[in-house]
Amino acid sequence: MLNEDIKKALRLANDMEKRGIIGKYAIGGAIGTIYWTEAYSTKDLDLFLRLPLSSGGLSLMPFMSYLAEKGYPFSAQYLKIGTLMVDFVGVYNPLTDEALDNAVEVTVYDVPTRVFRPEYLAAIALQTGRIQDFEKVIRLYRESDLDVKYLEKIIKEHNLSRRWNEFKKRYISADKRI
Amino acid sequence: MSSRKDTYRQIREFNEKTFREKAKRRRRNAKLPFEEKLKIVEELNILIEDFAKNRENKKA
Repeated sequence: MLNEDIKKALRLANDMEKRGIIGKYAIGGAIGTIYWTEAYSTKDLDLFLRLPLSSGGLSLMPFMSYLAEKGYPFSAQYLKIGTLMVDFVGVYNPLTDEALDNAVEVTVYDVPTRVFRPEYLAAIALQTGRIQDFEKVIRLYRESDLDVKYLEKIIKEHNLSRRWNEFKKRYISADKRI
Repeated sequence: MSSRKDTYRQIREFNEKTFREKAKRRRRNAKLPFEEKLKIVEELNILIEDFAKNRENKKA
């Protein structure tokens, strides 16, 4: 059951955060988007997180050992929990770092967690730039109550203006119905 | 008697109205509780798997 799998994944992430194995984390990607939009099909739960730094750089060992100890099959950066593919994504640039700082505290199935604000989800999707990412931006733009001024501030600060203007021209100005 | 052009125009107007209704419905659905939306995600995932199985069965 998806609800049980999500609960397990969030409890696991909370436990790792509590033990200092990972730093702060938040839900992003498709399930983060669905928090703010109409539901659509996905099996991916993307958890954006900070990994603690050791003297030699990033400290991945405690993270990998913890998951291995729990007996979860882990391939590449995916962890399979039931039907759910949990992707642990280390924050990889100033935009994702800032999104994590500004994540909203929420409760999902009585489990406390965080989710990226819709403006950051849209900016990250715009930056990533695949077709499925543009679909996310469209969904967030038309269905969530995102703050366009706040989104445009993020876009300007992270040099995404050209991409945003192209996007608006192609999808928003061209179709008033969205 | 209305011409074919008139008929097309009427159908397009009707479609436009449907698009606007659908957009409203999407915004309403976006406001459902998150847990309820996750149930829909699960149902959609099952449905998509069924479609894939059906396609495979037809191929065989």
